Amino acid sequence: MLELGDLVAIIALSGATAMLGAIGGIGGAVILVPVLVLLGWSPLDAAPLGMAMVAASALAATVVHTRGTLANHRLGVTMEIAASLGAAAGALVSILIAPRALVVVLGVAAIVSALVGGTRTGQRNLPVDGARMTDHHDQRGRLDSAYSDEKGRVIPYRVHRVPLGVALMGLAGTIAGMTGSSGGYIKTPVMSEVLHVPVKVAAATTVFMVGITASVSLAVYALQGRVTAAIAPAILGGLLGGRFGARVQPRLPAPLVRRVLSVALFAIGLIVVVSP
Amino acid sequence: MTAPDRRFSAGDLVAVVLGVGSIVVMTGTTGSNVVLAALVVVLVAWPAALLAMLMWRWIRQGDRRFVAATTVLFIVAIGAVLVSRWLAPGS
Repeated sequence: MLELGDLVAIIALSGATAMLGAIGGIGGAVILVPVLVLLGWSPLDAAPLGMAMVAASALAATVVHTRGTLANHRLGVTMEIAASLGAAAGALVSILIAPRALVVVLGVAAIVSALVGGTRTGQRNLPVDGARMTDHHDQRGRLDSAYSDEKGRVIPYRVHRVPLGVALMGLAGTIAGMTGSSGGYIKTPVMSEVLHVPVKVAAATTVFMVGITASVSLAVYALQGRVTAAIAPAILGGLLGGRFGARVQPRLPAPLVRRVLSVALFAIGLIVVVSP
Repeated sequence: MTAPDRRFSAGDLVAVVLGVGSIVVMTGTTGSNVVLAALVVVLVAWPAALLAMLMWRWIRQGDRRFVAATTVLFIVAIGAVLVSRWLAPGS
């Protein structure tokens, strides 16, 4: 059983990364696991904690998002097929490639995503006067949708370059499968910068997607007998942080969410490149 | 901003159960191993339940394209578990 200090530390770390994950649309395991390793945990023991935190955080955030208009479930299902196929392929390929090379690729991808998103100014999708949510949101057979911004205005959006997005999601899934992460830090920038989906929608949709990825990974860890009572504080922190982040995110302006995401991605890139 | 929907949903109930369960596991009381196993089952099963709910909504809307997409996602996710299990050390 863990000491009280360890319990509090894991709850606090999981809560903070889950909150950041729910706001910026990143799973957060890619932050939590290296930090736990720095604190003396072995990577093999820390990985299930990361996935438990992501699964719990995604559950708490998805409960909040499902009541609103932010998460685009049709887009999430479409993109997650490619990402899951990529993850299975990545798990196969990971046997053949040097892990350190993969980590560097992953870190550089995160830093490039941070710079692209962080240096862009303005908003692609703007509120439309007179637009009604029922005319755009949750339409049969369509990926295009609409969401309501922090002032209650309806913002319709179109999903661009779907075939390229599917290909990049497959690549994101492959990198996630190779590195054992949920890949949210690649999925959200792909949706925002390639598919031109509003960043808040991209973040909420990615949270739904990483929930699927994390539950699959957790099932694998459970089958391998790697799940211990140490995941309990990570679950509690993930639930609290995920719910708080999902409640706060709709109230934040989109450019601020994009900046939060860029800072998080830059930090992730540095962590994965610098960590041994 | 539109007024948030504050109704207590099945998802909220699952989150509360997970939270209470994780506290029980942290205390290390008798039976906490059973609670831990239940926590893992819930964490693994909730996306499947959500996908089933979405699928049901899309069936009622007659959205055959996304019903098919969700079915494919179920198959791919189960396949990913099997592939990863197959690759696991010692398997």
